[in-house]
Amino acid sequence: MTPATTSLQGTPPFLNAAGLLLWGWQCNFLSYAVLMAGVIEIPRVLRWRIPVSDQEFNLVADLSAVLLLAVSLYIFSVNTYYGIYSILAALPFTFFLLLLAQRYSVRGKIRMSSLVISMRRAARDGVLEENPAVDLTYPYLLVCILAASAGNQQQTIFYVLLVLIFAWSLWWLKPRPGGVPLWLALFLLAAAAGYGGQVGVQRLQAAVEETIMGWFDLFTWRHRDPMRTVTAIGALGKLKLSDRIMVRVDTHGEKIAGRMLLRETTYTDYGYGVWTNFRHTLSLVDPTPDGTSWVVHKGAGGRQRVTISYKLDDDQGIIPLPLGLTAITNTEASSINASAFNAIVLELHPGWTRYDAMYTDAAIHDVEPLPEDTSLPPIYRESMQRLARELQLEHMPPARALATIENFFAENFSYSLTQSERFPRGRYLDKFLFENRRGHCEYFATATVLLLRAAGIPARYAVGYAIDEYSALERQYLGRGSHAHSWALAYLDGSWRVVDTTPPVWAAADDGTASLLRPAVDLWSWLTYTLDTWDLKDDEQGTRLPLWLALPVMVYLLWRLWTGKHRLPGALTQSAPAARYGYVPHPGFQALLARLEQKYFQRGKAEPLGAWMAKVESRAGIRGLPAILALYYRRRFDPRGLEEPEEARLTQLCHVKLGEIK
Amino acid sequence: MVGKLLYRNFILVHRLSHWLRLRFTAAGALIGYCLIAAAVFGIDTRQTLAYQIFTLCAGLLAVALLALPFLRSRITLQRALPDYATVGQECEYRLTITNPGRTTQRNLLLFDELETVYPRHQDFRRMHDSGDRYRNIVDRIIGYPRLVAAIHKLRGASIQPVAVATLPAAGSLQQTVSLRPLRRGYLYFHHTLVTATEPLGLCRRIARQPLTGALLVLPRRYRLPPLFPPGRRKYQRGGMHLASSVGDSQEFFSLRDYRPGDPLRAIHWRSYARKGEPVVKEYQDEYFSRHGLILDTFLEQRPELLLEEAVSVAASWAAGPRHQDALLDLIFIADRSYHYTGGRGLAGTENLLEILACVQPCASVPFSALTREALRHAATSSALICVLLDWDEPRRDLVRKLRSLQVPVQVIIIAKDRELSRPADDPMRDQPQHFWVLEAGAIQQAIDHLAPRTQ
Repeated sequence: MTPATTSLQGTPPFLNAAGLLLWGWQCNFLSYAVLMAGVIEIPRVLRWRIPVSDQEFNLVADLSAVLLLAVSLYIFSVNTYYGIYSILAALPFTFFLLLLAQRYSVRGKIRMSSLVISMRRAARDGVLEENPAVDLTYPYLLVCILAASAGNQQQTIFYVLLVLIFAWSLWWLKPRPGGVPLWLALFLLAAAAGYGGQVGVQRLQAAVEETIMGWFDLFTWRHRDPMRTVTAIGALGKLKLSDRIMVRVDTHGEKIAGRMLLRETTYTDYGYGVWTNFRHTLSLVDPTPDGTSWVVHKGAGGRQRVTISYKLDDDQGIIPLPLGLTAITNTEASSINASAFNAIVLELHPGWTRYDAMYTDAAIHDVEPLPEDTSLPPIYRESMQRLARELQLEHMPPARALATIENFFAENFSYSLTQSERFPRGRYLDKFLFENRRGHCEYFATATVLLLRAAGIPARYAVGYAIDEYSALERQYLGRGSHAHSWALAYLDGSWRVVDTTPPVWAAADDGTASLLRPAVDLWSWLTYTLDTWDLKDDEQGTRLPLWLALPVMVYLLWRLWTGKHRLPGALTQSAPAARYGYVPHPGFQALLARLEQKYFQRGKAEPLGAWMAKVESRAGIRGLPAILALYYRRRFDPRGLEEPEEARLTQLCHVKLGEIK
Repeated sequence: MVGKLLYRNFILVHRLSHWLRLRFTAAGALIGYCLIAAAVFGIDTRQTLAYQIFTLCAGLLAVALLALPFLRSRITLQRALPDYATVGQECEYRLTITNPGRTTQRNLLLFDELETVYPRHQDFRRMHDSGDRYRNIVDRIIGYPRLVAAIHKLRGASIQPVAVATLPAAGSLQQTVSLRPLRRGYLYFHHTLVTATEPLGLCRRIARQPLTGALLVLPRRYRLPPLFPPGRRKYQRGGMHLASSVGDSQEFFSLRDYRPGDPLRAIHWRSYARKGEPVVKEYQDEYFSRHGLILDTFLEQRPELLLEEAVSVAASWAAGPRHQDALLDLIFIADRSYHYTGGRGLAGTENLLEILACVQPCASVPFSALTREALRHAATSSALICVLLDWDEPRRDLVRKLRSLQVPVQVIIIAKDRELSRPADDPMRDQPQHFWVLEAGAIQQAIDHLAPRTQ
């Protein structure tokens, strides 16, 4: 049912012009808006009209659609999907022709068939039951208002103007001529409710984000997207940081001086709170012939070593690594890929994984500066260049400029996880740099990168973890969710270097947010981590079971054995050797294995004994190992085990072989 | 399984959309669309100020909804329907609106609602909608617009709402309501919704008044030329009254001796008494024109439009001018065989049209049932008009058998297009002027094109 009596009439005089001016003011298209408003309102006083046929309306509608598509494609190609708000801001341009055609036509309305292609075909064949003529002035007004919301002016004034335009619109559409006080009272009530609702919506968003992030934190692991990261710049309220242990770093007894930065990836382009890197492409890193290490940067030295444990939530993921990485060793990874920005992607089964990172403090081996590393986003270009001029960075040598920037942040800024004041999109950093001068690491790192670029120094935005918390229980360093950090990389004197302007108090500030349950949660985390990684060496198939799932079963079995109510059948317990119910290592064979590994080369983590011994035989020229292995396998896996003479023979063979290999 | 789930969701969406359209004015709908768009673009309050539009729209709608319970509209209604309507032709009826209360009612909008019938899922799956060819591929595959069209058609008509600006206390007024029927058969009026708009002009309060009624919609009719000369009379055993299966002819002819099998009521009792032997009355045999109209209702997998057009052509002929003494036999099969005779004081044109308005497709018996029924009546017919949905072998066989009885036959085929494959043994090949192929959807043009050749 589409009753004619319920269709919309046109807008009152100058309402469309008001909508256009609001949009022009908000989106910095004021001169265009004034022109468009004038053109739209002229027919109010001018009686001259053009007879526009349905076919011509169809053409105008098609042209508007093509225009919208072209504008969307262009903005999408430049800004990808972050450009959706730019597309929104451009909508009044794209639909203007359609409104123009309506306003200057004799009919003054457009048939629905011009707007809907399926109706157009049916109308052409004369089978359309209803083809009402519609007035597009109110829909266009709404388009203008929505487009205006994508602008960056002050929120309070916008709401006041919004209320005025809505009041004007609804007054015009009011059903009865009288009842002004009642209408006014109801409208003001609605406007007040809407104003109060804003605060509620903002709080709701903060609460929803916090809850959802909490769920993510609880049920999934954090996954880094190398192409894009959304910062919390501009978020209201207190930034919620997680206590969850994300990474463990074993320095093999070395003490970390200050903080150790583990980088996940690097970004180059910034816009509206989002860092991106569209040059992130991966290439395969070849392992060394023995398959035990992957050299990322050949000839770069790198004698320092840390063992990092990290949990992958998928069968591949970006891993945190020290800056100046040269090689990755002792990992079960099936393949390793690296980008030019030193984002390393490990392919492995999901779960905790452990790897050794070889690195050097001498250099960061990232790709040379690219054009993006010196470009400023248009929205911040003016303010950053102004600040650079104020700090006189333009005329300083790069090293001095860098020192000035570091001093600027150190002396004038403070660390804060709380953002209480709301300000428009695209002005977050201006507010941070020029007004409140408080923020967390993302504010500092982003502002530093942009300021470095304004000073002519190529810079990038790096994300990862800052490690400084030592766990006496685990005897290694821990990186929590709250230790996630971002910093700048600056290119000076032919090499990249870290510029971390975030005040050092941040770690203490983050610790202040720690939960009281943290010790208990940490203990549980360590238990699960230990159970999950304890069999890393023995797994030949490379598919570790989540053994912690078996923990309750083991506890139950122990309890059953302890109570002694369900002993195994007597026949079995009497006749079978003790080895049947638990593997008892053969000391001679274990000593032989250790000797072979020490003398020749180590067995791979997932390498079968037979294959490894065959390699040892062929390379070292040792004979008789298969016979020993056969006896050993029978001892381990044969349900009847070895008879006493065979056990003695295995011991003897092992001793003989140990004697040969000295 | 998925199809059924989708279908149920479609029904829910349709109900919801109907509910929303009744409860929100055009301005309210505009605010609603704005609310949705602002919710989409304002989901991140850090990126745009659209959340402010969202909250303002939400505030307006909330206040408008809260104002609804304070509206009161007590009125009574009476509907006066015409006897008939015709498919595709606008029809008007009267609605008498009375305000029994002591306050003036303002800004009322009345929605006279026809009964909404949702097609069953299996019927919906089989449905073809001619509008599908105008829809895009997604709409065709998903099928929701097809369901909406089907519901619209089953409902039978679209009725414009009636706006009442002011209805004084204890006053009443009459409003003319127009409707345009979309299908033949009965339209069932279910209830009338009386809506009042709140002061902001965004939402309506609805009062539902049960007000039932039925309106018979006759088939669409076309201008047909006279197909046969009316003068060819045939012997009608038992005269006109027997022709309609009721009574004998009233024209007394003579008396004769009783023969076994004569009805007892034909006995002339006074002569029997005089003679001592049974004597029966003989009546005058009658000769007059009698035309048979054989309507093919065996739709099977063919588009529904074919049957509608066939019924329209049959109705056009039934309602068209005939010679005064001509009878018309309407023969068709639905759940059983139907045979109605009109003309010469029997069923009138309106009765035949009423019957045709309610013809349903036949799916329970084979086409041979129609052949048998047609042959049974062929002997007494001056001529036969066969309105067929196809020209396949069973239908050719029907025509072949009718022509073998030396009865003039006019064949009208309702087809999707005018090009029809005709085999070598086509029984109408020798009479092309009595073989029409009419394209469904363009019947009148085809008739106008063919008629000059046949006259």
